Amino acid sequence: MFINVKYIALLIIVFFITGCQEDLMPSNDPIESTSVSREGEVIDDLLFTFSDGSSSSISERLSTHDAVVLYFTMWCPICDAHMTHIRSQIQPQYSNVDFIFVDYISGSVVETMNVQRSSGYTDFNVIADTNNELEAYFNGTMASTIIINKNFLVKLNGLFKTGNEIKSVLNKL
Amino acid sequence: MNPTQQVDMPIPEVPANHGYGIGLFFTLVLFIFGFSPASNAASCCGGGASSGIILPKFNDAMIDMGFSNETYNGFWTNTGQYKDDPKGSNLLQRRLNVSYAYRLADQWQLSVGMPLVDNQNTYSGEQSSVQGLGDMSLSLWYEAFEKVTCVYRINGWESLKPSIYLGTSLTLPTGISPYSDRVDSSFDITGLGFYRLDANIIIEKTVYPYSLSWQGQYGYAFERPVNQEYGQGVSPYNKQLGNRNASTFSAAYTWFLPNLSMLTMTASHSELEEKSARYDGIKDTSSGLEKTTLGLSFAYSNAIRDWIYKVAINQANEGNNIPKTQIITMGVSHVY
Repeated sequence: MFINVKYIALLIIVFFITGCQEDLMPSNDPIESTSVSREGEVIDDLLFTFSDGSSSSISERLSTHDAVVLYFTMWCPICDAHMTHIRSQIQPQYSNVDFIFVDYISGSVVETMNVQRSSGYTDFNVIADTNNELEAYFNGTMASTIIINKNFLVKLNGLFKTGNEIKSVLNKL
Repeated sequence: MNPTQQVDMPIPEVPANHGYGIGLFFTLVLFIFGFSPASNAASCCGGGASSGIILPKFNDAMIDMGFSNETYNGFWTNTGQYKDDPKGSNLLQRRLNVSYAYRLADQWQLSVGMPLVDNQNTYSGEQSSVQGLGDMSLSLWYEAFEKVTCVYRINGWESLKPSIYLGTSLTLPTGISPYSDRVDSSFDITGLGFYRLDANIIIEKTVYPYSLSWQGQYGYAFERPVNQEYGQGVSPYNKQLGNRNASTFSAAYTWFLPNLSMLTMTASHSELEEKSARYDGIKDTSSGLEKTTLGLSFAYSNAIRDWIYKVAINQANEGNNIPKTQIITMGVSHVY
């Protein structure tokens, strides 16, 4: 029996393409999110554990700052680019804001401090989210950026883009 | 075109390991140059490009299958500084690339490439394993030459005429991207999520046993709407990756074996640059990338040149804003 390989190959290709429709036809229609982002919500007074072993609550951080900005990092190339941008381009303009990186991947305080040092961010506050509590609470992932104002209201929960989105929120505080 | 020439051409759209949320990064993909039947003066016309395989001159169709193993070892920051991965990290992506090329006319050919991706990550204690289809590609090539240009010796200016291929390729966002609803975290990524159109050119000259080639590519990524990120609805915005350009020089040497088969060794040097991405037209200054890659490959073809077996290694040498990777590829092609 003669098998036409050409048509079999085309059939296989069409089969795979038809199973991948969503990104082939992207949409800008707003969609309901089934996961929790907490943007627009007043949140709990969460407790942070930092890489140096100290602890501090959101209320304590907000007692001396107008807002808290959290950036979720896994110390990757993109993360490094974003963190560098935050440290050099955004933080200096907002001395009244508490910028904190959240390490949700290292799994321990010691390991968070180790990777923080090796990545060159010893001069920055880093939370060791060892039990992934913050990750679950905010549905965070790599480059998630969360801004919390003095009223414990989440003003932003989204992926870092250009940094302008952070400035836009902070300017309105 | 010498089929066994190995050209290392960086490819963005094989979204690499999630360990870096690497749907956003580009990885290098090996190019394997196919080989044409000796009955047609062993046309070196046939092979591979970053935008699809290339059918040998005078052949009707070709199937190519390659298995790649890509390992990650640190990354370069946006200032070019090298940094190690977190301790205990082990990032690996395997790809099975299946490609098919078909001749439309004497000087026109079409090809399609389909990558199947397997990501295996251990990153700072967290483990993940994800498999799926990557971003597919469609390529159209025009052969700006009618006769085989591979020669055994130079007899006048006519024998110096190179093979020139002009082509265009379209990358389809068939992989799982950060913007699909099938993903929960950066570990689930197998695609970039963008359509990209590339203009390609290959210039090659073979005077046996030596071959030289240059490959150029310029790609434009289409802007797309985004309404969700990692399965979470977001306020809609438009995103566009930066335009990119790539250039690869390669040199090859062919050994003619006693049983009329051939073995070709190819060395290559590739440069890739991608400009910054834009969000609603605003440039993301923390994006964009550059990468330099060195490659070495061997390809063996049988006496009648319808089966080609290939092995290659590509090593990133330097870069900006991109992981440091090594890719080992084994593949086989069959022409009809």
